[in-house]
Amino acid sequence: MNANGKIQRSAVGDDARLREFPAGGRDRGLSPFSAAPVFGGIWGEWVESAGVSSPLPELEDETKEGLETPWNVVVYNDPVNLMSYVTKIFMKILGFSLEKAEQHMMEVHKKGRSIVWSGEREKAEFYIQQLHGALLLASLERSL
Amino acid sequence: MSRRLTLQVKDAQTLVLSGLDDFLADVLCRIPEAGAPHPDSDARLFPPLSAGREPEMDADWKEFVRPELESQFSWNRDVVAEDLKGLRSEGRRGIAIEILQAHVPAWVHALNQARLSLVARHSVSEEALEEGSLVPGLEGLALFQIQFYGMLQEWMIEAGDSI
Repeated sequence: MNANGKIQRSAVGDDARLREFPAGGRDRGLSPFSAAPVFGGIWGEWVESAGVSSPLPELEDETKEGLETPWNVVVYNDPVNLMSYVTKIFMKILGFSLEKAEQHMMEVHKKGRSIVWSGEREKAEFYIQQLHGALLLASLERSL
Repeated sequence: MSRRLTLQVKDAQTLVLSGLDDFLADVLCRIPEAGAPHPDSDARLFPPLSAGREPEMDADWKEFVRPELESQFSWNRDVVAEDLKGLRSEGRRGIAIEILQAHVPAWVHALNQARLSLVARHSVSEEALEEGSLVPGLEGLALFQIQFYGMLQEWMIEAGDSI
């Protein structure tokens, strides 16, 4: 546990795991977008306390609302990124089939943007971090 | 003897890029430098989370996620820089380099990083990118780098196990 001892229920995955936020993260309404140990760093240092049996603290209303609002992961067109590259990235990061990846890639290419995923903010941020890691132009927007 | 640039699968673990001349080998060696941090490419390599719609979330993103992305991009460039030390002359057949399959993702991402950075730094237009026309001077070299790196990216995506 860190000095602040802040705990939040993870919104990613089916299990109700507990994660500790680095100092400052929870106060800023920051969700653990980097929960998966892909890139390491401070987020990789979170301790998963799977065996803790004490009741979970209630989330603040503002944070709860922010996490529950549906969010879109939007990918924008970029004339530099290769079509084959974008297709591969969609398959790898979002788990799309080749056909689905190509459909979204073409939507990005022709319409300028494509919503590639919708759902919880935490998981949306996780996807966007990976898409940014692959240098795709992606952003988070509230689903209307 | 004619020299042909090729990327071939040597075995399950290794790709070989061969047939490079001195100029192409030099352009290849510029990959890490081309993708290195630069004020003009900063906005493209590190876009905000919400494109300005949620300022507080964007600020958090910059504070917490950007350092990890910087580290990841740096690691990709370092892998490529280390592999480039293995460039070797094959006499009349030109210059060659072996690339481990395990390094292909780092190469593909480093090439992408270099291309995006060069476009931003030299303000290469979309038209110039599509036409691939060369103009004298630094922008011409940058445009050649962008095209050459793009071709290598395509080859590696096809030849590599995964990215």
